[in-house]
Amino acid sequence: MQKLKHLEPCKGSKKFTINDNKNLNSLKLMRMRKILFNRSEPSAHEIRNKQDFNLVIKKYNRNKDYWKNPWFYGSIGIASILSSLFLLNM
Amino acid sequence: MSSPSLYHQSDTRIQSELRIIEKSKKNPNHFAPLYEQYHENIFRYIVKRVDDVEAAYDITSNVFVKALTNLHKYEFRGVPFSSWLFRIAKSELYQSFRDKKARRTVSIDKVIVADIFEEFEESFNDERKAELMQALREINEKDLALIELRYFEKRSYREIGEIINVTENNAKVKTFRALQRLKKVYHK
Repeated sequence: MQKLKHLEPCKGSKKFTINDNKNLNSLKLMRMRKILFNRSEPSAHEIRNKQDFNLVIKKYNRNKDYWKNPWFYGSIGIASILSSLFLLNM
Repeated sequence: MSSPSLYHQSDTRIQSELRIIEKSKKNPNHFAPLYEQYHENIFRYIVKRVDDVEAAYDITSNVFVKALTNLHKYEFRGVPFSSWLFRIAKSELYQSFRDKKARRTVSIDKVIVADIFEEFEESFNDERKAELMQALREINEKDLALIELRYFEKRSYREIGEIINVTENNAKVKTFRALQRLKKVYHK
């Protein structure tokens, strides 16, 4: 591991070093990952029963609401620029 | 249980898929056959990586919603449609980890662990298994993802390359290096 003298902690100091950060990240990773052995997965039949294309279509229709479209914000932006230019020229 | 391979599709099948995609771009209801065809594969890819089965169904559903939303961007460039879906699945999966909707999980079975020990040229016992589990917790996410795809899910380098968006050879090199790093952490 690369030794950076200026980052090494002084005695009694609570400053983090690069090494501490690495340890913290790996600790976080270890805490986050769960390892499952010989886990039973749903059968193909169960998975097929859970298929719901109507729900996908429903969510898709909800997602493509006009206010989520970048064109909506684009046109609002252009309209506001034009109206401010018009007001300035008045 | 490993997912059935989606590769080596015939030209006729690829062409029929492309026709469905073109129709779905105009009317999303035409997407149903592709949803039925790939739902199980995408679900299995996700469920192996999350601890909650219901969350896995939810993420799978979001993958298809995202696929439909971005379908207008899809263009066939020799890479199967399934790879595009897997890339969306990967991004949705990590999004759910960030949102804390699911917990990162690694699902392995005994036979696969034995294969890994074969790669390490060591025999398999409970103590070594515990050390391997620890190593799997410590390696970085990219390495773990490659090891999962190659050793736990038995995917070909071609598939891996298409999922992670690199060439087949590059996937091979990256997977080899990931295994070397796992080995290093394991022997630490």
